Order: sequence, then C-alpha cells, then structure tokens
Amino acid sequence: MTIGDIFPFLTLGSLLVFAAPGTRFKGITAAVVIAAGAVVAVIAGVTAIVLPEATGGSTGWLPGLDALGGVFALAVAVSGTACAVYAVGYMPGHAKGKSGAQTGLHFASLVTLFYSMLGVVRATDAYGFLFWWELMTLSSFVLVMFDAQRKEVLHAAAGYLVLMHIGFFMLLGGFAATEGGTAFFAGQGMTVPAFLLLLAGFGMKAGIFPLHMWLPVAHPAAPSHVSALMSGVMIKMGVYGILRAALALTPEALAAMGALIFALGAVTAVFGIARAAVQTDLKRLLAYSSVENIGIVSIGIGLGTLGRSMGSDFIAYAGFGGALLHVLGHANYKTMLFLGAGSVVAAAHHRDMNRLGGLMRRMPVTGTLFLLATLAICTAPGLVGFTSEFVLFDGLFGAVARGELVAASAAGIVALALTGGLTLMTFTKAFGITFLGNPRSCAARDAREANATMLAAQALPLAGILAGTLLYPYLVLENADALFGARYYAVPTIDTMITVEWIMGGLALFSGLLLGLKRWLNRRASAVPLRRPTWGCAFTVPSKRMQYTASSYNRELQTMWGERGAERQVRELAEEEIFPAGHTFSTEDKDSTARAVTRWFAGGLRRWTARLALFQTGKTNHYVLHALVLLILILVLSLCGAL
Amino acid sequence: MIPFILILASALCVKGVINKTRARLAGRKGCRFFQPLLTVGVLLGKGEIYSTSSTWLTRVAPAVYLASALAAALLLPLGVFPAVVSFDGDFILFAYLLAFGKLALVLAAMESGSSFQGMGSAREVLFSMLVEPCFFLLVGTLAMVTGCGSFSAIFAKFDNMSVNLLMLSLILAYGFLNVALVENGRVPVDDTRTHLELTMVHEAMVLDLSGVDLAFVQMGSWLKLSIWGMLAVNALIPARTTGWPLILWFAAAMTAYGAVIGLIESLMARNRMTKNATYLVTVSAIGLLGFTVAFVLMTSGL
Repeated sequence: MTIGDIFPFLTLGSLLVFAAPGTRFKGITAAVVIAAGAVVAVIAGVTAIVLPEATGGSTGWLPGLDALGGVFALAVAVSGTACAVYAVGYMPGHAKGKSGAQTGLHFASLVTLFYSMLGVVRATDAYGFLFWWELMTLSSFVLVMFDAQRKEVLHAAAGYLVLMHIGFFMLLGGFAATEGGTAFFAGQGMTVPAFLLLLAGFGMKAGIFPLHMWLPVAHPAAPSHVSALMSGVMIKMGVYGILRAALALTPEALAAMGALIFALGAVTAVFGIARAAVQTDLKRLLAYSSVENIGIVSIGIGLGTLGRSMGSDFIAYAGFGGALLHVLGHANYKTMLFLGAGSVVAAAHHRDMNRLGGLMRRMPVTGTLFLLATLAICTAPGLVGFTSEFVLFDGLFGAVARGELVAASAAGIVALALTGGLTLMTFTKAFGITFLGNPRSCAARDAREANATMLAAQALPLAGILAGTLLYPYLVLENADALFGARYYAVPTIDTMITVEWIMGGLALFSGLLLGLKRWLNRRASAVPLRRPTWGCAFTVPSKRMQYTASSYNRELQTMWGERGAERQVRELAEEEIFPAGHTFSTEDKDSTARAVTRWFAGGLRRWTARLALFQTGKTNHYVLHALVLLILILVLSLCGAL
Repeated sequence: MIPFILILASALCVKGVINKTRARLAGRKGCRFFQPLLTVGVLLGKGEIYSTSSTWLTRVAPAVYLASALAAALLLPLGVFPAVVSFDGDFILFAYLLAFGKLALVLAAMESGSSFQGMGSAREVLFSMLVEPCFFLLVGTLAMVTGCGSFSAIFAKFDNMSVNLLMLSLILAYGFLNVALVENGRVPVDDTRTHLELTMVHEAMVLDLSGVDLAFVQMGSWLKLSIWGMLAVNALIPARTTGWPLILWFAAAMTAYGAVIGLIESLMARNRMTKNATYLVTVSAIGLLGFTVAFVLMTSGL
C-alpha cells in the first residue's frame, strides 16, 4: 500500500489554512492536516523499523523512509501533533491584534515545518535532502518571528536565519566534497573532510558546543508550541544527519571521528546543563537543557562509532541504541516541558522564574503534567528518560568491565553522572520555583488554569513517556540490526526494563501502603489536616518576597565557578529627573562561549571586508577603471580559452 | 533476602552506635541506644501540620522517600549472599532510585515556600551532584576489576585477599564512606545537630514536616545510612567468606562504620559551606584514584 508522495499533502494543507476563517479554525485546519500526516508517519515509521525489508525503497507507506528515518519520523509525529493541537488553544489568546494573513502564515509555516521534517528523514538524494532542509529552516524562521514587533524576537530570528545558512553552506560543501553526497545516502565510504563539514553543518542545527548559540536566543523568542517543536524534534534533524554520516564513515576514519563526536558530546552535555542550571528564564533554561540532551545523544553516537571501529557489537549496540532511545524520549518530554512553559507564560505573563511561583495550586493539571515531564527528564526509573540513560550507562560500564575503551568510558561515565546530578538541580529549580511555594508577582497570583485544548495537547506526549519505557527499547533495540547493524542480545534491555517497572510498581504500592498507615495512625485526628503558615523562624511578618528564588537556588553553583561571566546587571535610571521616580533593575545571563564564537566569526568577517574596502574609494573614475579592468580581463581570458 | 534483612536490622542500630561513640568520646554517658527509635515512635503518634502553601506533593513525598530507600536496599548484596533483585546494570537503578527519593523530598521542601527549605534543597542537590561521579567511578572500578555488571555478581567475585586488591579494597571502602558522609548529611559536609537554620542542609529541608511524615523521613534516613554503609562493608569484608562468619563480619564492619562516623563527628568540625564544593571534588578524586589504581593493576597484568 502506497500513499504516494507527501508533497501534495503539504501544499494542500498549507493553502487550506489560509482559506479557513478566524484564528481558531485556521489552527484546527493545521492540526487536522498535521495529525493526518502524523498517523501516516507513525504507521510508516513503525513498519519501516519492524519490517525493514518489506518497506525498503519505494514500496512502503512513505517512499524512501528507512528504519533509521522511521525512528525520527515517529518522534516528529508525536511532537508535531501535540504542538499543532496546542496551537489551537494557545494562538487565539496569543495572536490578538494580528491580521488573518499573519496567523495564516504562521499556521501554514507550522504545517510546512512538520512536513519538511518528514521530508528530510525520507530524502534519498542530496538535492531532495537540501531542499527539505532549507524549507525546514525557512518555515521555522517564519514561526520564530511571529512576534516580530518585539525587537528581541526580530533579532533572534535574524540571527537564527544567518546561522542556519552558514550551516547550510557547510552541508552543501560536505555533500559536494568527494564521496560526501553519495556516501551519505549509500551509508558507506564517507571520508573525513566531508564528514567534518557535515558535522559542522548538522551540529549547527543540533546545537553542539560551541555552535549552540542560536538555541538559547531563538527558543525564548518563539511562541511556545514552536519552541516545543523546534527543541523537541527539529534539532534532532541535525542528530539524524550526524548519525547517518557517522554510520557511513570509512572503517579507517571510525576511531578518530568516533572519539571526536564522543568528546564533543561530553563537553556539550556538561556545558549545556551547567548553563541551564544557572538560568532564571524558564524557556532559556529549557533551551540549554536541549543543548545538554543533544550532548547525551552525541555521547551515544560517539560511543557507537568507537564500538564499530573496534568491532565490538556490544558497545556499538549500546551507543547507537542509547542515542536513538534518547532521541525518542527527549522528543516526548521536552515537548511536554515547553508546552507547559507556554501555558505558564500565557497564564502568568512572565518567563522569569523569579516572578513566578505557587502555580501548582492555581494550575494543578499543567503543574502535574510538568511534574511528570520533570521526573522523566530527571531520569526517574520507570519513565522513558531512564531507559536511554540506562542503556548508555550500561554500555559505558560494560565497556569498562570488558576492558575496552576504559579511559574514554570512564570520562563518559563522569560526564553522564555530572549531567545527571545537574539535571536534578536544574529541574527541581525549574519545577520548584515555578510551581511550588507562593507567587512572587501579582500576575502569578492571578494565574488561571490553561484551557482544555492546551492541557490535552500537553498530555499527548505522556503516552510516549509512560509507554516508551517498554515500547522504545522494543522498537530500537530489538531491531538494532536494521537500524545500525549491530547485534547484541545477552540480556534484552526490555527484560531489564520490565524488572524496573516491577520495582517501581512495588515502590508505588509500598508508598500507598505507607500513606494508608499514616491515615490509620491519624485516625483520631480530624479529617481535614491542620494548615498553618510555613514556619518563618519566628519572624512575625514573613513576606512572599523572602522566598528562595531561582537566582538564589543556583547561587552556590555560581560561586563555585567564580562570579566572572555569570551575569550582567542592567540598571535603568531616569537621569534627567531630579527626583528619579521609577527605575528598573534586572540581571541578564551571559553566555561567554557563544559570545566569543560569534565575536570571533563576526570580527573575522569584518576584518576581511575591511580589506576589500580598499576598492571602495568613492571616486567615479576608479569605478570606471574597475569596470574596464574587468572587461579586459574577460576579453583576455576568453581569448585564452579559459572561459 | 539475607542482605535486605541485615540492612533493615542495621538501619535500626547504626544511629545508636554513632550516638554512643560520640557520647563516650565527649565523656558523657549518652542517651539510650534505641533513643532514635523511641523519638520516631513518638512522632508516629502525632498528627501533621501542613503549610498553607502545600499541595498533595508534601503529603506523598515522605512516603515516596522511604519507599525508594527501601527499593534501593533490595538491590544490595552482601558478599556471596545475592541481593533480592539483581540484573546487569542494577547499580544504575540503585543510584537513580536514591536520586528519585531525594527529588521527592526536595520538591516537598520547596513547597513550603520558605527560604530555609530552598537553601537546604539547593545545597542538597548541589552536593549530591558533586559526589555522584565518585559513586559511579567506584562502581566502575569494581566492574573493571571483576568484569561483572551487577552488584551481586561484583561483590561475589571481588577478591580482595590478594595484596594488590587489598589496597584497592581499602581505597574503595574509604571512597564509599565519603559518599556515605555526603549522602547522609554527616560531618564534615553537614551537621545533623546544628542549631542554626542557615548552616543546615538536610535538616533544613525537613523543617516544615511533622508527625508521621517526619517519622517516615527519619526512617528513610536510617535506611540510607545503612545502605551506604553496606557498600563500604561489601568492599571490606574478606572474599569467599560465607555463612555465619559473613554475618559476623557484617556486624563487625557495620559497627565499625557507625563508630568511624561517630569518631569523625567528634574530632572534626563541619566545613565552611563555601569550602564544601572543594571538599566534594576531592571526594570525587578518591574515586578517580581508585579507578586509576585499578586500571594500572589491570593493564600491568595483575
């Protein structure tokens, strides 16, 4: 059964959106078109993974989709549907004052982004791939700059567009380089120079250190469902490219490139989460956490490549398998976290956690969903986040136990352990400061629960978070042969995960018993428990401003590194007034690495263009001379037969 | 099943051993050996008071904390006595189960909306983050030396009676002891008896809990104390001991563990809060030292 090409779908869907009246109906149209594609993508993805030989080539549900693409198509489908449904509930409130054409363009871009990601994972030649890749960049650019009336949004979107095109040219170079394009799609014969270009180009999209600078700027600027889609799956397209390029490497290049990806991944993971831990802006925190997760995935890809170079099936299996599981899991919980953050921003009008708080009692469903995603990202056993980390850790420990790659594995273990600890710190802060305690601003105090559509959309990835613990290992690890050609079945991970589920079930049951015991012990007390204000050290007038804030939570972490480069303080005082009335004070986070990279690049560009300015004298006679020289040059060259 | 029962039994006693050691070294008679149990018994008879800013999280978290400590205890063996549950990579689950319990307690603390609880939580997660690499490196060392992937297999096979590995065994035990000090909030990282909220870590987190909830947290803390002790004990007890001698070894080593903690608390002062990070990095360096020693031993053909 063939659905044929998906391109008609796409054009049809994008145009349908413009025809629909009103923001809500535009949103519903976009959601329906995306959901239709998602159903096809899920079926096609799962069949491509489970029955790779039956669907190879052009006979499957989605022509060109192979097993590896199927994994990513699955991630795109779940996140895409959740984000599209969320937009239906979110946009009518967010798009006030926008014209129908503007919202239409937004939803059309959303549809385009979704289908272009599906296009990327099923492209079978360089032209098709780059076409969908560019369409993905452009549509996400349009989505990011929806609120372009705000200066920082415009700035973020322009920066994003420029960086993505630098990345695009690197990809172009990588595909044009010897064996680059053919090797990428044939899955063998990738040379080192082509791979390095592709790594830089894909790394730019994925946000690998030090090319991550667009993520923490673009994600807070974009509407939340867009950040969710971009962070949940679009950056994974970069991972898809790296993974495919790494799998195509020539045998002699495997060891060096594997070590490179592994090291980059370890640095990205620790750097990303260390940056995330000190953020006070909720969405920027999530963006940096995405950088970290891309790092973890890269550790997996690097480990797998190293395993391949040594011919160790076990290490390759654990590395690539862990990476793919992490891609699927992260797509689920990061989508949920960003959508939750979107509901928070919509309800409390602040992204700064220092102005939030106490939302758990005002938005109980949003809060509970955010809590579940927090548990998943903190790798609570029994949820999907644990599965991928377990496979990666197991691979690293297994390598150590087998005496292979000992030093690298130990470094990986330390990096993953530090990342795990910092994730706990980051997300107890993200959830604790935002949802627990008491509100730190009037807007947070007056926050109301998000509407049903938004809640339903936020709950959608929950299926993946809960079922994925067993389903994803089945899909990825049991079909490891088709996905990355490594086989290792000493103890199937799925059996281990079933054991973990049993233990967690027992834990839940025992907690329930303890709660029952507590009720029995309290049987003589009144049914309604005693409620008193929090003990404030006998302070008589405790204020909500005295709570621990997001800044104070990471204070000790910052002092540990030294104050330098931590944050920049902005004071705005009205100078012309004799008696200054109002003034604002804010601290702004400073990412010195991203800044240094940008400055280095921009500085170099400026220096080179300054040299070229030699020809720009401003005198007409000089310009005429230039034209004359050019004409003579053309004449001479064509006489010599060079042109 | 035997290791699990032994952990439960020792959980009731270690606190008493620490108290007695401390009292004797200070020249006091000290409170009764089972005084901590009696205190918890009193707490169990009391009702709770909840903060006005709390939700269902605060009510559930103490139970989850205790349950996750208990679940982690299921994964620990004692020498050749296997654990109740054992599979390849069970130490990963072990670490994340304890982290899960900590997460529950941290969230309950942050619900109170007090700066003391916030302070305690921030420090607790920071310290446990810094000590996590140490734990994983120590376990990695054991995995490398034995070539096994689960606690039960590792400790059944860990042969510390040869000269080389005896040294390693001491390093490992010292490393696990340090992790235990950090994870249980003992001196020199944290002082359970401090009277000033600003210097508290673990105690600050539970300031707002009362009644049965506080009792659950206390019991969870005992369990954690003996769980981490169990790891140090496992590294120390001579290989191939089995039957009653093994249980006697366990009793002796566990008492020594409590006594050493009591000794440290009597002889050392708590670190300055800002020095803790440096101290914890040093602890991780012990893990790295153990790993390097084992690596050199392995490559030099042992």
